[in-house]
Amino acid sequence: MQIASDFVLLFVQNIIFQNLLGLPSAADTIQKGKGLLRLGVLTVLFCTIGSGALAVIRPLIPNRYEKLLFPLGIALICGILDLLLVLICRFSKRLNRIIMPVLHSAAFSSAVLGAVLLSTDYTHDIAVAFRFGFRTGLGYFIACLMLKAAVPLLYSDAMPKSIRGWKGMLLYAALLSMAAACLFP
Amino acid sequence: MKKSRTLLQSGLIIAPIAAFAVSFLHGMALSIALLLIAIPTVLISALIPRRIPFAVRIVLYSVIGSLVYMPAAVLTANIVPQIAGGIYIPLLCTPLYLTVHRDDLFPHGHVLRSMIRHLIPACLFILAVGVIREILGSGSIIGHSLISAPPLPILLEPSGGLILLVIGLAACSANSRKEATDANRL
Repeated sequence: MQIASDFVLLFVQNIIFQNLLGLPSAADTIQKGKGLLRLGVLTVLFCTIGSGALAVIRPLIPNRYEKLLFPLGIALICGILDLLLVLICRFSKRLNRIIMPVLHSAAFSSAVLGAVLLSTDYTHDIAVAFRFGFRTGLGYFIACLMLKAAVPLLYSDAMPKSIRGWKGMLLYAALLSMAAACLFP
Repeated sequence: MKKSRTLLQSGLIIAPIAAFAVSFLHGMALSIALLLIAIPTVLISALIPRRIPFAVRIVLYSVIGSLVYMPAAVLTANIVPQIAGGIYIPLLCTPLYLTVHRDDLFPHGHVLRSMIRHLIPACLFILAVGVIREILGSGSIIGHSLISAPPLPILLEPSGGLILLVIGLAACSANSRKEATDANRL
């Protein structure tokens, strides 16, 4: 039952991109031409670790300034994780080729910042924060899969020139978001 | 002309506009926050030497952006106290981390001028989106009722905002292409 409600929440909260949070980085990646799924996987990682780590350091932040200091905390957490991944990539050419092109887009994306900020509203509990981050990231990954499936058509001659490419993708995301709002009112 | 809209055209500040700019006041809060966050962030970030590896620089950009966000959020809340920024004001920082190093956007030595070229059209665009959504979505302007039955309440939803943005950006692209064609003809 818990798993089922988790999945419903996952879809309600994430189709598409939790109030469009992750759309900018997806639009940026699509303009570069590839790496949407890698972006999704890395976003899952950053959302999960970011939400959990911020819940860990939250007791150290003065209550009165929490809302102002959260973005700084997230920047430091994601920055450290980003640098660690860069160091790991130095030891493997394959990892370097796969991860590096989308690493910074994932680490400093509005999807991660938005998801971690939402997790601070949702819970104070570290374990729940980790789970919330993972769930949001997973929803983002599923949304990336849905966009990936539509990319060839969005770039084809069938699309009018003015909205061909990432603008068509925004339109597609808007329609999916509208459909999701009808499915989960 | 096209270059002056690149920050918008890149799609990076689309989400806060589509989800947050549902009225003139929301648009104003977003525009003020964008100016207050972007100008100091880009100016301070431009001082970081380029010889530092990009992986380290982008972390520094993000720390600078989050530090600038604090006074900017307080100032925005004082200027437009009716509007709570929620999570969308901090989201304005992230596009800057990813674009501040780009010479095509902020060329070295012309940072301030290029920022004005990017930010003024972006702020005007945000305000226009806010006004259109308020009039067509809720039938009012700055809280004053204009139409008893708003024709397009869907515009108040993120999806409706996104559709409006795509139409606006497509019109901008079409205009840029027309201008380029006219210039070539001349």
